[in-house]
This record gives sequence, structure tokens and C-alpha cells, in this order.
Amino acid sequence: MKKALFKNTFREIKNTKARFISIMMIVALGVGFFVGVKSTAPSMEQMAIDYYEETNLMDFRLISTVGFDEDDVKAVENTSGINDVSPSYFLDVSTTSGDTGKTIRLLGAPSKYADSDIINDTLVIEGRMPTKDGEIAIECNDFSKYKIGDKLTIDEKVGDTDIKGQLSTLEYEVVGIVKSPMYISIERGTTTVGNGKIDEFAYIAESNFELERYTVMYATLDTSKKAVSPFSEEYEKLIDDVTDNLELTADVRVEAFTGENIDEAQKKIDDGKKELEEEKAKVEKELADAKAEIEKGEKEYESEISTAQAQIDSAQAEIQKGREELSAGKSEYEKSVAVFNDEINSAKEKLDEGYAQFESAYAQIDNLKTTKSQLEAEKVTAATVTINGIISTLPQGTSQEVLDTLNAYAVSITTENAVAVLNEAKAYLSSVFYGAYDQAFDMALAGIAQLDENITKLSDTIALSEEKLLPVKEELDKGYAELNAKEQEGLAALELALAQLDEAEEKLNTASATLGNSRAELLDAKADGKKQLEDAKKKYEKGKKEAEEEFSKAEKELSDAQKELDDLGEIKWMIFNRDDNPGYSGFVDNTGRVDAVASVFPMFFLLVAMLVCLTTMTRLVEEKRTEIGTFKALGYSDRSITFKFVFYACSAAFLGCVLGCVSCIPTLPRVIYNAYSMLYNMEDSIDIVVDKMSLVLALLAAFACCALVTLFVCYKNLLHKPASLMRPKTPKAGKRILMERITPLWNRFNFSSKVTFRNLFRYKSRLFMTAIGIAGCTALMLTAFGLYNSINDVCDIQFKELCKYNTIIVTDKEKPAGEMGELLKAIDNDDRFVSSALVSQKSISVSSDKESVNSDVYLSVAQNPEDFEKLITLRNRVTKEELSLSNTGAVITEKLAKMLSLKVGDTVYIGEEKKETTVLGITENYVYNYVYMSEEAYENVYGEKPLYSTVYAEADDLNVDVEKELGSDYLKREDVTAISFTSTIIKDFKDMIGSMNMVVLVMIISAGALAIVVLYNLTNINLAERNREIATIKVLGFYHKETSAFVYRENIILTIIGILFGLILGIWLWDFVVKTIEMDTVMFGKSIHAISFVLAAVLTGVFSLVVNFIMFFKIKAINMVESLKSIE
Amino acid sequence: MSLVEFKNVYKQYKMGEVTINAVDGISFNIEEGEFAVVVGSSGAGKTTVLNILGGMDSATKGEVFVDNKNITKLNDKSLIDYRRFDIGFVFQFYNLIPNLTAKENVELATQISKNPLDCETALESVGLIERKDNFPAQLSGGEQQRVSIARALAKRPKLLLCDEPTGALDYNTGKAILKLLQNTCREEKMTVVLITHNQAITPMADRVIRMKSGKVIENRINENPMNVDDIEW
Repeated sequence: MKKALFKNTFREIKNTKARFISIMMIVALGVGFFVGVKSTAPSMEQMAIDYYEETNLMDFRLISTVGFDEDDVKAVENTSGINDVSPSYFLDVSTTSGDTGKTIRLLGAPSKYADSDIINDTLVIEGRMPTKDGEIAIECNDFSKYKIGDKLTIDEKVGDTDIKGQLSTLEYEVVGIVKSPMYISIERGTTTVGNGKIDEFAYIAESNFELERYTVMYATLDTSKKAVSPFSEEYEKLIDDVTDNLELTADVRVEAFTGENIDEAQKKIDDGKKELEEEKAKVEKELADAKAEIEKGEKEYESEISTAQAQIDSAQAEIQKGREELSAGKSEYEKSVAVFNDEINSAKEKLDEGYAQFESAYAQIDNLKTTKSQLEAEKVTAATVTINGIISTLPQGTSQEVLDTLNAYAVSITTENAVAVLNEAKAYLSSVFYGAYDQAFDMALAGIAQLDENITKLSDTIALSEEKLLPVKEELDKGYAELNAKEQEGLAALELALAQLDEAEEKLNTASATLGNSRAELLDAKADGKKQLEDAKKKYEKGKKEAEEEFSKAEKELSDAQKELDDLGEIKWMIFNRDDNPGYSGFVDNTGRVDAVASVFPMFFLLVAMLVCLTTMTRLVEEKRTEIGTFKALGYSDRSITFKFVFYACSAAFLGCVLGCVSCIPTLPRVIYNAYSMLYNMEDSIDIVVDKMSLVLALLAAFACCALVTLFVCYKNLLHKPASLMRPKTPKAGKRILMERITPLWNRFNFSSKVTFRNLFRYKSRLFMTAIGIAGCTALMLTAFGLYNSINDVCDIQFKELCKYNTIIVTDKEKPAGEMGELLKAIDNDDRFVSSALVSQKSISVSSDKESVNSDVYLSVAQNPEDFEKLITLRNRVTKEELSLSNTGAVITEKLAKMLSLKVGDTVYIGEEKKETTVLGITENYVYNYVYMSEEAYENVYGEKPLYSTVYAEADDLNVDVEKELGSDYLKREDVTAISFTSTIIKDFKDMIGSMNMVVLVMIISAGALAIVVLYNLTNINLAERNREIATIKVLGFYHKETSAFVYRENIILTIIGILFGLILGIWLWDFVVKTIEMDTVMFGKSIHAISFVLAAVLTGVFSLVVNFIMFFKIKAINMVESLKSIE
Repeated sequence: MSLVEFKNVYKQYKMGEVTINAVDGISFNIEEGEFAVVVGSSGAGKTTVLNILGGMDSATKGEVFVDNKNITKLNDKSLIDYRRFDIGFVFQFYNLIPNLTAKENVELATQISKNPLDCETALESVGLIERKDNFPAQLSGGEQQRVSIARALAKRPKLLLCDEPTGALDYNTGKAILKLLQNTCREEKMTVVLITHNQAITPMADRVIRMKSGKVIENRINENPMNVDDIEW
């Protein structure tokens, strides 16, 4: 190498710094990005290897259905291929002492066992490991944020399992915060308690476990991890081999266990059963005897009672008979009384009739007598009146004597003496008055005589009648007397009869009373006998019951023992390796994903680097045409001349490689790991392991493309003779382009547009370089933004549109819907909840005819599809058409359908049992995979109703305070184990997304760098090439703006073309990246938002503007004097 | 007053400690409608004079008046305006835009002028109307220079500056170009300032300004300018 040529080369570099730097930068970007990203996977892998080595992560985890004893441990230790064994304990428990209940896996703090190393050592982040009872170390991902010194209480029971008996204490104090190599991801694995998901793990001192046998054994391989990477196939083979050995050991130990424990226990149970049978027989006989005796007594009692009863009954009958007779007698008596009375009465009537006739006759006589006495009174009256009349007629002066005599006559008049008196009075008066008054007397005497005659007649008649009536009366009186005598006689007879009857009644009553007494006696005797019998029976029953209870107790004990023995089922050892650790294989997969992405992205950069190199070197060689000619003319060989340019390009490439490696290798893996470390609890930082293969590949690619491009350009020029090289190159002829044929359009263009368009088509390599560079930039940015959308959509759509519930309540155990009533009612009546649905959820495996998915699939059965669909939207992602559950099949989630290649109407097989059902619909879903069924559909498939353990609920206006309130309210209930809120899931997810944003930012920055480098380079070359043109138009009096536009227009059009092309490319690239990094449990959003397209385009435009802005000053600085120079 | 007036103009370049006077206190004037030739050998300072006069460079000291405008005092923007509206420039290497046709190159000037000639007229005046749609690469050197002149004239400048317009041309073509320039000056009353190192051209000028080592050593009026056809070199 000639010194002059060297100097020339270095000067060249110095004079064309911008170009040199642009080659360098693009190479730096390409190589740095490629090697940096490519180094991420090995760095992460190495970190994992170191971390596992440091913590001595087990290679095997053994679990047995019956636990392990020391002999088992020894047997495993002696298995070929095993180095160390460490037995320990674990127990899945629940706690409700935090804000929300959760399921915790309690692990025994790792300790040294015998002379082995500590396996699965923890990293203590804060505090220390528990060393004594009642201390606990919680994991660093603790979601309820316990602090050191906090108290934690374990529930006494989890489901039906009693925890109290398995732990020495339930009260723990947090003493440390740790992470474990067994749990590197946020997954915590599954359990058989609670809702089947472990929320957290925690360590307690081994002495806290009150378990007879070890529950788990950890074992390590005797091969060093330094020699064999745990991510290598060799390791896998080793694991397979040693697994085989362990299986042999397991067989031996299981057999031993069966011999020592199972058979013995079975024998004991059998003996017990036999003994029980014998005892049972004996007791049964005794009981039977007792029963027989009671029955005999019962019989006797019955017969005695019945005899007594018979006697009483006959007495009763007699009395009854007597009573009947008595009543007959009584009625006869009544009857004869009636007859007697009748007779008497009729006789009396007759008599009375006769008497009445007699009476009337007698009344007539009385009438006559009355008339007689009237007549007699008339006689007196007439006499008196006559005397008194005469007195009144007596002449004045009649002597008193006369008057008195007359008055005395008047007064003394009676019936009998009337005539006499009158006559005397006559006589007297006649004596006095000489007969003057005789006439009056005579007349009166005549009247009286008439009366006397009538009276006599009447008296005769009366006397006659009376004479006639007398015998009648006598007869009547006689009749009466007879009748009375008869009556007296009859009454006496009746009285006698009555007395007899009364006497008979009296007798009967006495008999009745006697009977009553004997009856009461009988009753007493009966009750007495009965009571004695009852007592005997009761005694017997009690004895029997006691015996039975005792037997059933004994039987239960025996059957429990048998069940326990049977439950052990087939005694089995389960041998797990690291792949079964939650998140372990995911980490390996993730590093693979980073690698896949790494392989695509830098392709752009290398391609663009090649184009940048091509255009730059082409320009450089063309500028140095004369110089090449001169060197050639001076006798330099083609090789030496070419060397200058190759050296120029390669030194740029070399510096670019160095710069790229130095800047990207230490940073990119860290940035990417930082994003991933949010998902993993491993080391906080990584040591960079450079992927040498990629480094060599990238360097080779960079050098090769720079060198080859330069050689190609030089070769073209070196073909010419020196003389023609020294002549200025005829400028590339202007050419008409297709667009000019559209004359009307073309004529409207001003000259700079025309130049722009002609230029575009004149420099094709530049067109491609720019278009590809800009397209790459836009594509990268679109991918970055699209990725951001996809990830954010997961959260936004899943938790805002699809899952409307925000509260999940887990019951104490799985139970039929019928037993949930109380809880459901409480939720229904709770104003804070808008709606709720009862769901049965379990982890299952699912398969189709072609594929199968074994993990992270949940079968979700809706007790009431209507309620369920209110809380979980089932819909087609594209058409947004709502789907609904029915009893004919299941609705599966989109990602699951894709993994299983299932369409609507296909058959899907659920669970280990491969139960068949039809795919009713495929629903949009982003997180986890679900098979949704209605209760009826489940019943149709499984033949039984599902058991429920989960309630989804939507609470109104849920905030931290309400959450706390709900948490404490519901955890108080016996039937609630845990209550959780989707807000925490959303928050965790947002945190994760936050870390992904870093990756997105890296992509945007690198995309921007790409755009700037490409545009800067392009514009720079453009300027160099068109220096004279620009100087000329400046001389012509173009303003700076006009001059710049002359240059920019090309850039702007190329940028627009690049952006359009890049948007299309970006969709493709985004699709690829999303598919690559997507995990089985998560489906990323399937659309790029419009704003992302806009942002990608606008940002690219902004980068372009930035370059143009920088170039503005460069254009301004172009010296017009350049225009006067000759063409080189 | 003269159209162009240089008053004690200096142009100095500082090269470290040393100050070089590319133009060393020159003063001259050119009247309107004159055909002036600035002649001198290489390094005499004539290109600097052209740069200053063309508004491409500024004087370190002194004053330059063009049409009563002191162009040494103009700011960047006004200087561009000055170039745009007052000056027509003919380059030694034509400086046509290779990607534009002859007509389009003329349009390049007319599109920015206030009162331009029709570009076809301009091309006709230089006798190239039939080649208007050709790209520069398809034209000979003389033809390219004609296009260049047409482009300069189309702007209707106050002053036509020509930098060795014949320098890259053969004898006959060069003569034809000079003839075109002389005719333009006579017929259009255009003031032409032509810069050359070729002494032989001086007889055709109305005014000859001779420069040497940054100084004007002669500024004379040619009473009888010769016709280009009559000059031989």
C-alpha cells in the first residue's frame, strides 16, 4: 500500500464525513440491533442457568399419593443419576385475613437434609427466612402487600379439609419477603382446594407441619449444569434417563409401602370386621331373648286384661238387660197409670154429666123459689103499700094512735101474716072509721089473695120438682163415692208398682256403680301392665340402639379405615421435572420468541445499509472519476485504486460495527429483559452473553455488502480507459418520463416539479433506498404502535367489553346450585351489586380431532345462561354478532378454536374423558382459554349437574373503598373463601403492558434512527450531486425557500411513497410479530387502531421534516461560486 | 449617473495572518447600454468583480452602485431580489439543468421574473426555437450556451453578466455567441458585462476594463467598437 494512497483515503474520509458517517451509522444500526436483540435470548438463558445454579433448582420433584418416609428418601438418593435429595412438606391452605381471601401454598423452608446441599434455595429480598414456629416468609409478588411484622392467619379449614390438625399453629408473623426459583413467572400453578388456583406461595419452618410423612421430595441430577445446559437436548435426555431410573425406584418403594402398610392395614380392618361380626351376633342374640320375654309378658298381659274385660262386659250386659227390663216395667206402669186415669176420668165425666143435669134442674127450682120469694115480697110490699097508702089518705087529725097502730101494722107485715095484719088493720080501722077504708083493704086483700094463690101454685111446683130431684142426687152422690173408692184402690196399686220399679232401679244403679269400680280397677291394672311393658321395651330399645350405635361406630371406623385405604387407590409416585414448574417452559419459549423477532427486524437494517452503501459509494466513485483516471494514468494497479474505495467503505462498516456492538449489545438485551422481567421473578439484571454466531454473521453481512457494493461500482468505472475517465462524465441525459405524455397535467407543473419527477425515475437505486428505508421506518413504527394496540386491547376489550363482572366470589367448596341459595340471595339483595351469575369453573384439557391443548383452558359452566351473558359478552369478534349458550353444545374462545383448528359445528372433546360436544360458536376473548357451557349442556355431556364454586358479580361504582367494604363483608361469611376484583388483574396487566411499552419505545427510536440516517444520506448525496444545479438556481435569484423546495420535493414524494409502502409492510410485520410473541394464554388484539396508522405516518413525516430542516442550512450554505467551476 | 459604479472596492481574504486583497481598491463605472469587457489574466481579480457585481459575493470595503442601488449594503433577501430581477447571468459552462429541456430551462428564469419575455421568443432570439424540447445533453456546447443566454435574457435583466461565455467553446461557436451578445446589446439596448482573459475580444467592446493583481489598470471607452465578425484571434 502506497503511502500517498493512504493519505488520500484518509483525506477523502475527512472531506466526506457526512457520507462516511451515514454508512457507519446504518451499519451500526443494522449490526447493533441484530446482534443486540440476538444476544438477548442467550443472555436471558444464561441468566436463567446461573440463577437456577445459584439457587440449586431441583431437577426432579417427586410427589406420592401417600407421602414419603426416610426409606423412600434413601432409595431416591441411591438411584443412579441422582445427586442430592431433599424431602420437604407443602400444604395448600386459604387465608381470609387480608383484604381478599386467597389460596396459599405453604412450603417448608428449604433446609439442609443430611449431607446434601439445600435444594430450591430462596432469594431473600427483605427480612429473613422463617426459623421457628409461627414465622412465615411471603413471596415478593404478594398481592395483598403484607409487610414484615404483619400478622397472617390461616383458615382452620379449606373446603372440607381440616388444616388445624396439620399445622402446629395458624397464626403467623411475616418475617421475610422472598422469591423462589420454582416460581419464576406470575403463574402459581393449580391445587385441588378453593377455586383450583394457587394465588401465592409462602414458606414456613418445616417444624410447623404436623404431618407424619413428607409430602414432597426434591432431587438434583449428579451432572453439573455447567457441563450440561438445562436448556439443551442433552439435559432433556438425561432427565428422561433418570426419570426411568426413578420410576424403577418408585415401583420398588410403592411395593414396599403396599407390603408394610396397606396389607397390614387391610388385615387389621378385616380382623376388626370379623370381631365386630361376632360381637354383633352375640349382642343380637341377647337382644332377641329380651325381646321374646317382652313379647311373652305382653301376651300374658293381653289375656289377663281381656278376661277381666270380658267379665266387665257381661256384667255390663246384665245391667243393661236389667235396665231394659226396668224401663219396660216403667213404661208398662206408665201405661196402666194412663188406663187407670182414663177409666176414672170417664167415670167421673159421666158422673159430672149427671151432676150437671141435676144442677140445671136444681137451678130451675131455684128460679121458681126466687119467683116465689119475689111474689112473697110483692105480697109484703103490697100490704105495706096498702097500709102506707091508707095512712096517707087518713084525714087530718086522725089520732096518733091510729097512725102508730097503722105504722106498727105496716112494719109488722110479713108474708105469712100479711092477710092477717091487713085484716086486723081493716078491722081496726073499720073500727075507728067505721069501715071507710074497708074497701081499700079488701082490694088489697084481693090482690094478696091472688098472690097467695100464685105462691101456693109455685110452692106446689117446687115441692114437686124437689121431690123428683132428690133420688137423682142420691144416686149421683153414691156414684161419686164409688168412684172415689175405686180411684183410691187403683192409686194404691200403682204406688205399689212404682215402689217396686224404684227398688229395681236402685239395685241396677248399685250394680252399675260396682261395675264402674271394677272397670277403673281394670284400667289401672292395664295402664300399670302397659307401663311395665313399655319400660321393658324402652330398656330393650335403648339397649338395642346403644348396641347398634356402638356397632355402626365401629363399622364406620372400619369403613373409614377401609375408605382411607381405598382412597389411597393405586399407590403412585409422580415424578415431575422442571418443565412442570409454573412458568418454567414459558420462559424458554419467550426467549425463543425474542429470537424470532430478532431475526426479522435487522433484515431491514441490513438491506437499507446495503442500499445506503451502494448509493454513497456510487456517488463517491463517480466524484473521484478523474482521480481514478489520474491514478490509473500514473500506473497504479486497479487493485490499489479499488482498495481505496473498499477501504473507505469497509472502515466505515468496521467503525459502524464497533459502534453498533458497543452501543446496542450492552443495552438492548437489558431493555428487552427489563420488559420481560416484569413477568418473571428472577435476577433483576442479566449478564450479556453475546451471540457469537450472530455477531460474525452480522459483521460478515455488513462487510460483505459494503465491500461487494464498492467493488461493483469501482469495477464499472475501472473498465474505462484513463483518458475517458479524466474527461468529465457526460451527465446522465435527461429523459422523458411517462408522466409527460399527460400533457395537460405536465404543463401545469412548474420546473421544480418536473425536475423532481424526472429525478425520481432517473436515480432508481436512490428511489429504492429511500422508499425501503422510509417504508422500513414506517413499518417498524406501525408494528410498534400496532403491538401497543394489540396488547392494550387485551386489557381494554377483555375487561371493559367482554368481562363485565368486576368481582369474583369463591365459595368454601364446590357444591350443587341448590346449596348456594343463601349466598346468592345475599348477593341479590346487596344494592352494591348490579347483577351476578353462578359459575362452575375448572381447569381442563381440550382436544379436537387434530390437536389438543392441555393447559390454561377453563371449562366455565353457567347455571343461568341469561345472567351469565349479562356478565360475559359472547360475540363474534369481526361481526360483533352476539352469541348465546344453549343446551346443544359449547361456545369456545377464539384462541382455543385456532389452536385446535375448530370451526362452528365441529366436535370438541372435553377433559381427560374426552366427552364429546359440538362447537356452537366461537367468541371473542383475549385472556385465557374458555369452554363455555350452559348447565343443561353440561348435563347432556356429563350426565350430571355441575358443582359450583364461583360467583361472578358486577358491582356499581367499584372503587378501592367499596372493594374493601365488600371484601370484609363477604369474607365474614362461612360460605365464602375468597373475593377478588378484576381491578387487581387489570392493574397487573397494565403493569405488564407498561413494560412492553419500553420495547415499543426502542422500536420507535430505532425506526426513527433508520429514517433519519436514510433521509440524511439521501439528501446529502442529492445535494452533493446537484451542487452546481443548486448554485446555479441561486445565482438565478431563487429564494432559499424555493431552492430548498427544489431539493425537498423529491424527499417528500419519496417519503410519501415510503410511508404508503411501509404501512402495508407494517401490517404484515405486525401480524408476524404478534403471532410470534403471542402466548397460549393470551390472544393479542387483532387490529391496529387507525390512530396508529396516522401516528406511524406522521412520525415518519416528522423525521423526514427534521432531516429536511437540518438540510436547509446545508442548502443555504452552498456557495454560488460553485456554479462557476467547471464540471468535474 | 452610470448604471454600474464601483467606488474604491476591496475584497479581502484572510488566510491566517496574511490578508490577501483579491480586489484592491478598484473604482470604475459602466454606462447603460454599453458592452463592457473586463479583461485580465488568471488571478487578476476579474471573477471577484463578477461575483460582487452578480450579487454572489460581497465586497469587504467600498461601494458598488447598480442603477443607483448600493448593492454592498443589501441584506441577503434583497441581494436575492437583486439577482432575481436585475441580473442575467451567462456561465462559462452554461449551467443548464440537465433534467430540464431547453424551453424548461428558460422557464426556470421566466417563472421567477416579474415581467419576463415569452420563453419561446427568447429561444427564437437565440435561434434555437426548433430545439426547445431537447435536453441539454442532446445539444452542442454552442447551443447550450445559447439556451443559457436565452435564459438570462428572458428575465429582462438590467445587466447581463457573462463569465467567459466562449471559454468552453470552439472558435467559431465562440464567435457566434459573442455576436449574439453584441447584437443583443445593440438591438435590445442591454448592458452587457463580459469577463474574459482573452485580449482579442476587447476590440468589440464599448468599454474595456483591464485588471491586474486586483487593480484596474485601464478603463477606456472604445470609440469604434468592431463587429465580432471582423475580429480574429
